[in-house]
Amino acid sequence: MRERITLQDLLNQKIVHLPEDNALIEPENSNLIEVVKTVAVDKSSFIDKKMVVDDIFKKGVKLLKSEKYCCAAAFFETILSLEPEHIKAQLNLGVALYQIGEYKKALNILEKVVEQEPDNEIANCNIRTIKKDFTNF
Amino acid sequence: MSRYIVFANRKGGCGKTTTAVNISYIFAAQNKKVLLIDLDPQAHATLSLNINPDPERPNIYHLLDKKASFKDVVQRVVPASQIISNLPNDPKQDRIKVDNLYIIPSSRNLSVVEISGPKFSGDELYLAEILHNNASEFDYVIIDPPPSVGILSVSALVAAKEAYIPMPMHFLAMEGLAEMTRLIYQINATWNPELKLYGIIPTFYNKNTRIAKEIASDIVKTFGAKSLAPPIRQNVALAEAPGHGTSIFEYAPDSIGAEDYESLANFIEAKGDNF
Repeated sequence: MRERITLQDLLNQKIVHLPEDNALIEPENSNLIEVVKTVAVDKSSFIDKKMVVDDIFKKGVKLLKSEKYCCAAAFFETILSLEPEHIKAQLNLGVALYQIGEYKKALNILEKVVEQEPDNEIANCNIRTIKKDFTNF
Repeated sequence: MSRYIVFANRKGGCGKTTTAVNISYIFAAQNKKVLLIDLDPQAHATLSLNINPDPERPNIYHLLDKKASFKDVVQRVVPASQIISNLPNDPKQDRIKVDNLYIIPSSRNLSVVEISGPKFSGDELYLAEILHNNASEFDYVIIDPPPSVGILSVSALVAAKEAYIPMPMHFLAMEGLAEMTRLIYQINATWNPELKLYGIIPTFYNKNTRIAKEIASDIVKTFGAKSLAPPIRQNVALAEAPGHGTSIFEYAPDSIGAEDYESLANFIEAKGDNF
């Protein structure tokens, strides 16, 4: 009989990364609440939206660098909910997904980048790496 | 300062409404001013407190549809012992009575909101805005969302600061817990950085089953020991009380259900001091 699926397995499937100390979820971006609200209420407010996106992006990159890939993925997905065409968020999301073993999802997101920018070197290079490393999709 | 609590789980039949009703009731019995918000079109919390979920009477639908004000939709809950006579007649039972429990009732017309989804960008924030502007007189604002992931559940999570997930100790419920955790993360990152997962409440608990022990240990391993709330054991009185339009504390104050919800209320109250 196969081993029982644990809660951690299920959280990994859903790309949910809990804090290192296994504590209850803590807000990572509590300083953003007012700005996020402004963006939500007034989508025409370009400056506010850009500010939110930039802030979330910086936090996502920081999390990626500190190898908190699941949490980073959540941040980049948040950016894409505000700006679906955000190339850098897509590229970084691809990296985060690859690192947590979500190869198909990583490949899909990078292929979307190539659809928008066929000559994007980073996306093409990462797609080649993923395909080379993992041929059994 | 008001505490905004949501008992959330997208899975149905896991004890959300029973928990919301009984926790609201016991806090009110402890002289706290409590507002229970029934955000489920099934209106089970409303029914559980002996209120007719009449679509014509001002309810949460009218509030969200901007056809009624906050004051119009809030109503005081009258203890069942004052209005019905079919509670078990046991003079030994010392019934707990409350007079500061309020509810925003629901009705079936709320399903329109769930089906049509947000009309405008920012609709997810509307409930939060109303509550934060009007509900400061309450010590506890407790929200009972529907078992789904639509505009109503999202609005509940955007309005709340403390999320508790009631769940039976089953594998599929554990999947629901993982999904709720993901949703809480998402809401935390996009709409409400103040939202935190405060605890997981084992419901329909039977300590003698292996799966209950395994899942409880999984929760402790994954979220830490302080995340696991006192369990609510399987107790038929909990299922009977809503039929009498009241909480377990009025219906069967000596039952294990009442005992378990009292322990849970202590756990939740203590969480307020720790965060």
